[in-house]
Amino acid sequence: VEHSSPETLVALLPSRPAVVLFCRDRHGAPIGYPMTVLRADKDGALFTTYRKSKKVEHLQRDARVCVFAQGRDGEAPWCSLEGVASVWSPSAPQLDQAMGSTGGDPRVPPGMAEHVKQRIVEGKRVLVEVRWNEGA
Amino acid sequence: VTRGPRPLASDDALDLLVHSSAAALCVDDGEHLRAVPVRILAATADVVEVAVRDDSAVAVGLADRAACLVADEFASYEQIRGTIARGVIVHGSRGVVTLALRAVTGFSFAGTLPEHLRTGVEEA
Repeated sequence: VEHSSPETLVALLPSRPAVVLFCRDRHGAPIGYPMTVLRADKDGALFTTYRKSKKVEHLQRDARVCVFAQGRDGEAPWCSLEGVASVWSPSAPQLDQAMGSTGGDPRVPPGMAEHVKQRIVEGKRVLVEVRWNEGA
Repeated sequence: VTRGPRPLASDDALDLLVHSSAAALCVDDGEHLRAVPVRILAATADVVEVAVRDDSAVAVGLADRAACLVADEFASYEQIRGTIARGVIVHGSRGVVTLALRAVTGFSFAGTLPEHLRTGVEEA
């Protein structure tokens, strides 16, 4: 298994892996946040978080990130991908385009995905879009 | 209104970390953020020892570097919990890393589900 391949992340997603977005705090020290992946492919990954969250503050100061994923049993393949994050607020059409056809998550109640989308369009939440580095 | 996650008591955060089946350790090697899968071997409020999966070389020669350890649970929305433990690597040999903890924080989504999603009835 290639631990720095986006294909490994994409292959892991259907099993609902543990995913952590690592960035740097204001002192340059690593700090990580468990995240839900909205979408991922060979070019990057898409997340959402609260606009006023600490991680947004960190990412706007230093956009270099590492996205880590592994199976929740600790046995499945894992990956660690470097990239650069951008934080943005999409319009409703932009959001639909950015998210594409993401499947539902049986762990969250019906209506949650639409609720989150509404929060993004309202500006309470933002998108965090990570583009993998060359050879990530 | 969606509420953000609630903080976990430090004891609960540490307990979650200790009992996690899988965690992630990230170190800045001076140029890049390197994250590897780890298993918790032992933990107190001050020190945590982890075994690095796959014998990754990330632990070698990284003493004194800042590091972050993350574990979380996500069986359902209301059961989402996580721990973020930050500190400095005091010892790293191939396969095992000891981290001196400087801050351990935890969060929980219990009780944060919007009412209209809890009941399954959409707001007008």
